[in-house]
Amino acid sequence: MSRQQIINDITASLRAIAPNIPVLSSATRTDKIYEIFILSCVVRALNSLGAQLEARDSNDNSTSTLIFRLGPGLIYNPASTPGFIYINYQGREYELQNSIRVLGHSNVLHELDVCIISRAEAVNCRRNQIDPKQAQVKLLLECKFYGATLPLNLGREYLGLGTEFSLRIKTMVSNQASDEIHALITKHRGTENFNISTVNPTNVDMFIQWLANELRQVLI
Amino acid sequence: MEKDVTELLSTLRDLNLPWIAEEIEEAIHSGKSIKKEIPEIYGGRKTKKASMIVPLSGEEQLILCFETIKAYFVDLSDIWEKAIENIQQTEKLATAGVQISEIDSKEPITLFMPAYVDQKVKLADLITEGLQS
Repeated sequence: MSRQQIINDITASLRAIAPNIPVLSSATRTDKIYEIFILSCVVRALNSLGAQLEARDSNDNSTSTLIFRLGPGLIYNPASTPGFIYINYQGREYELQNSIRVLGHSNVLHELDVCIISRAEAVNCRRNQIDPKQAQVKLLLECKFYGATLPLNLGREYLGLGTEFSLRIKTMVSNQASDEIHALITKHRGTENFNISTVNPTNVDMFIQWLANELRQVLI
Repeated sequence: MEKDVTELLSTLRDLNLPWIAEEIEEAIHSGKSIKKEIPEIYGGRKTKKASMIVPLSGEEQLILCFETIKAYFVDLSDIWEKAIENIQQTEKLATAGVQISEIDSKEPITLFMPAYVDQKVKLADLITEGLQS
């Protein structure tokens, strides 16, 4: 098949398929899918450690449906807060959350794509209608889904976020890779996990193993 | 910009997906960083490595375009399926449903229509052919 024929066929295929992928109506939706995928990798890591996990709704009740939301939520506002996964690891309790806003060192709120916070802090925040503090965050994953290349500004933004949160497990995760962002982040003692997607299942398995090793040391 | 890339970007905009077209355009305009050896000042025959930004070739632009289309139109649904599988492999979450909703709503938003499954396979094959051509 000639190059022009392939382009014509791809164009025709795109026209046929686009109406059947409503998720592509905005980048917010594609980002959300990737965040949930990375959250699911944390679930696998926790499962491999033998942690007890349970789905909870935004009111902290057991639920059969995990609802994630298109936008950042305040942990004490059930209408905006997503569901979460309750964690019990060797008698210690935590919550695996998506897109909740947490106070950084500067007392400014930041949306964390995927995080684990202590259960006591989360319960206290829901009860008293206050925001969680960075000191109670045990894991922070900044997730970036892109088509082919990662713009450098993402690395700069991640560095800024990292200075607001002092914890051992914080990393930028993406389905793509960037030598420049890698250089930028590692120069400032940060970590990245690039090429994490179903296209690279071996990388996903290594990422989950890395998460499990780190969580084993942090959640005790 | 490469003519074929322009055509594909135009199609994306026609389909009301300008943000994907813009992502591709910005990546193309950013070019790529390469290493090159330059002579050391006062270094005689010594050289040192330096980096510079160069434009993408037409071929590279087209590959970037194909890869971006594949990421959004093909890979994304695999990622969603895997996310649900990962969550449901845990004993206490085995029957948990997973959905995405707007803020202040409990209604799930539709991500992929049933007809998409067969169309995805065809598009994936075409992109693979495009990347190999």
